Amino acid sequence: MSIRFFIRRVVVGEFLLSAIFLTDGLHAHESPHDTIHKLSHRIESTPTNAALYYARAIEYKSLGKASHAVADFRTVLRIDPSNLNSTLALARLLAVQSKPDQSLKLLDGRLKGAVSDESKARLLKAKSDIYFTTKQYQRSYDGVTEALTLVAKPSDDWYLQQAITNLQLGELIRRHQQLAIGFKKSASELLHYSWIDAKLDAGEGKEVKPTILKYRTESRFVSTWNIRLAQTLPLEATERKQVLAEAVVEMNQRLNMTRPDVTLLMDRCLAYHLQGDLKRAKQDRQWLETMKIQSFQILWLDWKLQSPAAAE
Amino acid sequence: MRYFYAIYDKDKRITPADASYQFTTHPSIGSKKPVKFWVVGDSGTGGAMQKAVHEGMQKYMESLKLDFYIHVGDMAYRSGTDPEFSRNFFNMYEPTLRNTVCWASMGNHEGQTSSGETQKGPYYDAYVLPTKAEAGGLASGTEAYYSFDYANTHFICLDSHDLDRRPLGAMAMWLKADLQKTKADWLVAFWHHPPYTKGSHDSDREQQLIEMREHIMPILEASGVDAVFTGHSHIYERSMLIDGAYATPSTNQGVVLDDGDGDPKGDGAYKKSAGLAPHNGTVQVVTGHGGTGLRRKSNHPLMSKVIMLHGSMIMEIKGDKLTGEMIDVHGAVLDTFVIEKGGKVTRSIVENPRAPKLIEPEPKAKSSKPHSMPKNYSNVIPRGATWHYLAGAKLHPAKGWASAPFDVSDWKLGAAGFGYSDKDDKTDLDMKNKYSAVYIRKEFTLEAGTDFSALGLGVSYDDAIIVYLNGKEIVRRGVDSGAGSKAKGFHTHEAGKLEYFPLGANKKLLKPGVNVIAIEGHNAGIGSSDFSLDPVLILKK
Repeated sequence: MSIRFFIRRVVVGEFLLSAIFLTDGLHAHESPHDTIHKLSHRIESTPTNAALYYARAIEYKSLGKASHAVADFRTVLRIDPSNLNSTLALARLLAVQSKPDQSLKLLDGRLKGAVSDESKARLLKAKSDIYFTTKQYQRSYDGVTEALTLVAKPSDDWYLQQAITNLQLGELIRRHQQLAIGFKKSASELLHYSWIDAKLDAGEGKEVKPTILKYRTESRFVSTWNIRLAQTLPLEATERKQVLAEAVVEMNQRLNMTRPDVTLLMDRCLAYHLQGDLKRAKQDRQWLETMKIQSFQILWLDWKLQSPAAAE
Repeated sequence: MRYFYAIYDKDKRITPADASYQFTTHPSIGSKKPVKFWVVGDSGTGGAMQKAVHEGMQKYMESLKLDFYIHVGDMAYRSGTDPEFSRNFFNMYEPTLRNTVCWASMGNHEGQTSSGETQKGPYYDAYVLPTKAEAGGLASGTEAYYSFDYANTHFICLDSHDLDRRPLGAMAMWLKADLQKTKADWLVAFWHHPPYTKGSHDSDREQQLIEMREHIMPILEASGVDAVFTGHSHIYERSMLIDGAYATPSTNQGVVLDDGDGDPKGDGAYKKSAGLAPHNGTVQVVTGHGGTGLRRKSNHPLMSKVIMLHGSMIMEIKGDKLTGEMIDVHGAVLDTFVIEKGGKVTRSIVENPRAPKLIEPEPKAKSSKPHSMPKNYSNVIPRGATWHYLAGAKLHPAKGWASAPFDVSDWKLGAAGFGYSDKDDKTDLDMKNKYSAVYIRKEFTLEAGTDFSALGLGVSYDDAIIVYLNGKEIVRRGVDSGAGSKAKGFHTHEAGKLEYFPLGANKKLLKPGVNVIAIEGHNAGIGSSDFSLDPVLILKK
């Protein structure tokens, strides 16, 4: 099988050619600042070359200079209105700048001219992202669900977004059913684990308990599996208390208390909640708040924290 | 298990009947089999330095075999197109690729034509990477990030270029799950954008680099990662043993566990607890010096060694030791670090750690542009003349071979030029992957009254030569020191037009009657794609 890793397929990539830098003369070893300087110089002599603006926007973005990047992406679209990558990048930047209406208008405009299913899907997913940030969950769900029907290999993010909108809409059964479809399609264990969480959240813990026990045995670090296992056990069960205590000990051994691994801190917050230690759970949640993490997982955690500690 | 293979186009065999067309599958997961792998980054220029770095690795390895290699991205400049992959990756590394798996991470240049989100584009056409944990690890469902196991080491590849790098994004959540599962003794991660660098890029100012440090490193270090390989910044930077260095801007206060050089022959190996112990120390290696131009902004405070020379890494994991060696284009080791595991090592912080050691290239000598052949001359030894030559694996001449008289009865006779592969040779040699030095000698007669100061040598050569006149060295090109089997420090050089070396300054070595000229030719690497040695001796008019 190993030989497959270096034998080339002959399939030719169908897209992104518009994004190729037309940057002959720019050296590969230059920093973003040097590259921006040289691109600016070249733009002066060829002000209608969209690729140069796109390249410069990417460099600005990497330096966190959002407003400069926005200006360059807009210029690209003035020169080449069908440029998909610039459309998506600009839409995301506008959303980050709290301009969702402008972002949606841009995406809608581009959707009208979208030809391929893949382009449509990416634009719909981008729209779904905007709706999600503005808490329009039904629209977000509709967008990502339509996008998922248009591409053969959606990334995990798409299924996770569909799942979190289902959670926000209270569609707990549909959530795990659609994650199961995602897992079958992509074979991603992350989706499989998310499906297990969704089953737990839907009160179907008994069904997934054997899988949880199996994965727990196979793992080096067991805290996450212990937290899942605890949710399949009765509130007063001694085993439940034991596995949660074991999880907290393990996580405390792994956490860097100066700047913790966010994934572990989130787990610990949930473990404290399930233990009924609401004070510590609140402290961890506040800590997460200070880290300003925007994620589906945080929304899911908040949903969990609002739920009763016991599953059955 | 080792497999030998051939490739056919219908009934026509494309690959020669050569045992180097082979591959070996990975050992069983959890076994203690040692592993030796090559790490290279930012190499895909298709140029001389990329070639030299590859040959430097081959020279270092000699007859040893790599188990696989890791490319940390930017393997096909400028834009990772299909022709650029062919020219700057497949063609350049063909002798290694034919029998060595390359595990790849996408760089920003490949990212101009390929997308991690859609897994489409030339990069994804060039590789078939595991999505279903086919080689161990946890199924990611995507080729953009994945893991695999080799014996008792777990390897993780991430996409730092165009996917969500936030700590609760899909890639980070998969990473967390993958790390929870692995029961390996060693943990190595690689991707393109370095969390710590002050080379051609600055990890305190650029978004991808900051995010990989602030968001991804805490997850990896909470699971005991041992080494992280990256590129993007065109330099070699190797850190001390560090943990928890997530701040922006980076500081060396409170995050260095060992500020030594990690070299057993220097300050001693870095010590870690047995197995994978969280927050027990990581070594970061920026290996963006695989072929393209080098740059340095300043010294990153977490580095132990900063080297402004091209090269790559050879890594070995054997038992309780991980050894990293930075190999330059001549096959010389410029940096060594070792992580040694055993027992329980308590995490302790070094206050006010040492500053990095910087190695820069020697100032260039004034360029010695090769001379062109004179317009008017007469041949003493014409082009295509027959020479005695000695060529073969481990064949080196006896002492005195460059002087007259010398017994050449066991040498062969052949017409110049000597070499292989570039179709400029009259005597083809079988030296590729077998030997790298060839010796030729020829006697010539000078009449009494000849103007000895008019003697000159014209030679087309690839890569290096040492020329002797009546036993005395008179010309040396592309070899830093030593001669014969002890020659070292080779530089690459392409054959072409005859380069002219006037020998008038050596006229005292000449005599009327029989003289002898002898030349040793060297390839910079044993697996070099070609070799040439084509001399002519003239009298300038």
